[in-house]
Amino acid sequence: MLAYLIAIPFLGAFASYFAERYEVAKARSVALATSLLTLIISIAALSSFLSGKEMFPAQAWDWIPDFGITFTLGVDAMSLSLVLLTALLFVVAIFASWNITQNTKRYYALLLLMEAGLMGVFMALDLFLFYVFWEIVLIPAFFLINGWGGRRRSYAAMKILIYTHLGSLFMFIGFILLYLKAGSFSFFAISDTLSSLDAGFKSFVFLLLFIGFAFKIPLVPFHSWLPDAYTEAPTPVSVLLAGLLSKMGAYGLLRIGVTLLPETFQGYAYAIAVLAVVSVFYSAFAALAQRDIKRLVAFSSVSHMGFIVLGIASLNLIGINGAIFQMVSHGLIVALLFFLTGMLVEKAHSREIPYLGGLITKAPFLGWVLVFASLASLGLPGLSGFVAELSILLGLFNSFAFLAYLAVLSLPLTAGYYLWMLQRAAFGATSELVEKARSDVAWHEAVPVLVLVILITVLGLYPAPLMNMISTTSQAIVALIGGI
Amino acid sequence: MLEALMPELVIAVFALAVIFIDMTLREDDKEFLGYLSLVGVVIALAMVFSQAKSLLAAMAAKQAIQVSFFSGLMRVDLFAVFFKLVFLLVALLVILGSLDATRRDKYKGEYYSLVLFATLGMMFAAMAVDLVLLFVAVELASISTFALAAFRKNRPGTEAAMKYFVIGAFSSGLIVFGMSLLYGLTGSTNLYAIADALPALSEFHWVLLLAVIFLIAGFGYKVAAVPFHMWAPDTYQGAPSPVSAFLAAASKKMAFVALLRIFLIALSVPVLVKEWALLFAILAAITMTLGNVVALAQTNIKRMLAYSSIGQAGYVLIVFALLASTQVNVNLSIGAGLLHILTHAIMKGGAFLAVAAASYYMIGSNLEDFAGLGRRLPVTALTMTIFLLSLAGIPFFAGFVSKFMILTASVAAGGAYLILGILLIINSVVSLYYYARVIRYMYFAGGDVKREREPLLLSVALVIAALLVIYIGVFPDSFVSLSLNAASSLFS
Repeated sequence: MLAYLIAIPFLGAFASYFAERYEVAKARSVALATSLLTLIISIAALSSFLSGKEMFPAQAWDWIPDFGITFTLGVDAMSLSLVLLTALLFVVAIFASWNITQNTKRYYALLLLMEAGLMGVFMALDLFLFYVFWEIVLIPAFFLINGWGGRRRSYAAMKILIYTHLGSLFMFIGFILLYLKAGSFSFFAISDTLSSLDAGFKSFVFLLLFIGFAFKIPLVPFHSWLPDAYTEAPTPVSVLLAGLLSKMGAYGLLRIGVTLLPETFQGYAYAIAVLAVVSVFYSAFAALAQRDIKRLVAFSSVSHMGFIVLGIASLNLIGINGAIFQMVSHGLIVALLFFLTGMLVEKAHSREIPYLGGLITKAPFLGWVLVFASLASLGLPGLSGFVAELSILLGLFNSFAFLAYLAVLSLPLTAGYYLWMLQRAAFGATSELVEKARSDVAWHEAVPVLVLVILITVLGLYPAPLMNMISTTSQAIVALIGGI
Repeated sequence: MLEALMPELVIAVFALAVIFIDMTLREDDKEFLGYLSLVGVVIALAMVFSQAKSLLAAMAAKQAIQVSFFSGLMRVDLFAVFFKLVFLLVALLVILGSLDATRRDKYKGEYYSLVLFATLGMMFAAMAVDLVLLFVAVELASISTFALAAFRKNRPGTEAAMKYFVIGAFSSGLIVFGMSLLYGLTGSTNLYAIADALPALSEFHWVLLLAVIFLIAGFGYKVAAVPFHMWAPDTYQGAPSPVSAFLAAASKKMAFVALLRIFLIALSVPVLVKEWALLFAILAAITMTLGNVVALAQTNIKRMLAYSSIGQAGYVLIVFALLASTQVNVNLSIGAGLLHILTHAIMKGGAFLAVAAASYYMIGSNLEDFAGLGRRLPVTALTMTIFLLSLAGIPFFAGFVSKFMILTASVAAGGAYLILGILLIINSVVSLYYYARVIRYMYFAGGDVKREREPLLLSVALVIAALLVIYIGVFPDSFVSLSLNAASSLFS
């Protein structure tokens, strides 16, 4: 079943291209159908997972036997939640692409190729396969930013391509080192041999891997590609970059960094947590200084990714639970925020905060959703972000209390830049541009917004089902390091 | 015995046939010669393919099979067959592309017969285990390609050919000098006999070292390793694009066959290996770095591809450096080099043919000329994108698999060799920048252009090459084991 999650978007990419090429159907309709089908299959995967079926690994084929490379797919609770998030956000992204009219057949084909790659990353249980999918995601992203992005798109596209490629190759050397010891790239074979290896070697490998993950998450100082890429990318691609591509890094850190090299990670945990705190503060201050809402969201996203890393670094059950929960929650919230910035440009003709004053009176739907998304992002109790950040902080207090106090200090800062933005943009005196704003809401805008709003609220009010599911993964991880 | 040489006979017969039939044809009918040579190459390719199959089967069954012919003058082992496959495949693509690309040119008979003779020389070079035969074969191929480079008698073409010829003749001189030193010391031109005689010659160590240096320099010119590279960009840029494809994809690989045979068989005394491996390590490091960094600054695509070829040759040279390490299996490192030679031949040959397809419509080879190519010549642009991504080492394309093997070999060697591996990936990142730049121009620049009908046979060549690149990238299994087996057959 899991292989279909890769195969269907992959085939759908060609289907949507050729359907429009030969005027059978619109590329968008085919892409939407494909992504919905993928969503349904991932829900089916969820139900078979919940029914207790062994899915770790679920499917395996030989690929390059000479190098012990297999095509192994499998999910546990963590990867399954990210698979579901991927399937959902691609549907959202296709709704967000409604206004893209130029070269649609190529656009949707690239989008679906990216979905296939992301699914592969979250399900691969062979390091070679993981790397292959990890890299391949980047290529559609490069084309999408270059082809449909903002004014400085070619610069931004080249930057994300080169930076993250560099990081990934260091990670790949780490994988090769592990392979040479284990004689196989299989996740399980490597995890069996690793305990017998010496600490210095593992420490070196971990650093190589960490470079790759840190570029992708990104953590300050590996983040410089991010503001350009997130801002210049077309809205739907920003949704995917912030919602999913950044999760690849966090997922890799947990799945490979922590699970394969638990003791080594433990040794580095404090340093990583410090880096994450720096990341949280640096990007929070940077967000404070932005005029462009899209850039503000981009920096705020780095700040929230820092929280995920804090949760991972705390290395206890509640912290890791929080980190995985935050991956899902941040994915939903940031998707909503970027979706909104796209609508802002279209309806209020600007993303610049000073030009958006009085939005709430002229375009109430847009205004209130902006308020909701900002509150969700700053961690209002009752919404999903709060649950996630609370667990992360609780986890961190148990491990590194001092850093936890520091991290808590970032919360008012986050609240500050969001509320200040709201005060100037949504409320405030009505600006000239906003006078001319359109207030209509089409169904293809309302549906994804409502779905995201509902999910964010439900996860905030009743986090238990998701939390219980992911804590099976967290428990397994925590057991590796002998903690509780 | 003759059976083993059938593919070469076929090529020789067709090459002569092309010359003689050329005399009877009117100028308008000479396209026939291209098709004729195509048939010859396809027949030879099929024969070599069946040779490869039977050799693989014999190796799998651990069955002894005669590989040595003409009292040890040549060996038809899997290693030779592997290279013959590469050469014939490139010849096939080049001839297919040339049918369109040289449609408006004169002297078709000479052109196709020279391509066939060059291929013949390369095939013999792949089998030679004797210095004299090796030299003659290399010269047959080189002299044919000198003439090919000058095929269009325009200024850049003549300059290209002149540079190529002078450097080629000079490097042949160096090679002969190195070979003569080996002969003088050991009294034999047979590689295996030289290998047997060497351990007794420890007092002549410095003479041997001199021979090594001359051979490395001579073949260094032929593979265009830095600092022996300066002819390559001018020649590749000035020669007609299908010829550049032939030079980069086949001619250069012939020099690697010669290097591999000479150094791995004749000069494999451990004391000597340490020394030449160090030379190769330095050569690899500067070749890949300089090639890729200079490629960054190029605005002409053919020149950029030439520098990228230099960089890619540096990746293969890593393999030689690794032979001094005891940590890594020899078959792994040689196999990695072999696979990269194969994949590079396909992708670089393809990339030059894509430039040829563009120039068919009088589109220049500058970066700006490629603006909007994605809309104007979609098949060319798409296949070019595939070749470029593969050259950059993006997964699911052939270049990734071979680069992965080289990287694995150098990581396995560990220690100082890891530096070569890290240089490899940094260069990979650098190269991704200039490859991606071409892709950006093709798809995201340029105003309104009309779609043109692309030349059919060139497109066929491009599509074959692109499909091979994808096939090797997605199902690398059989190619990986083929190259590993070919590597091990070198020593059996």
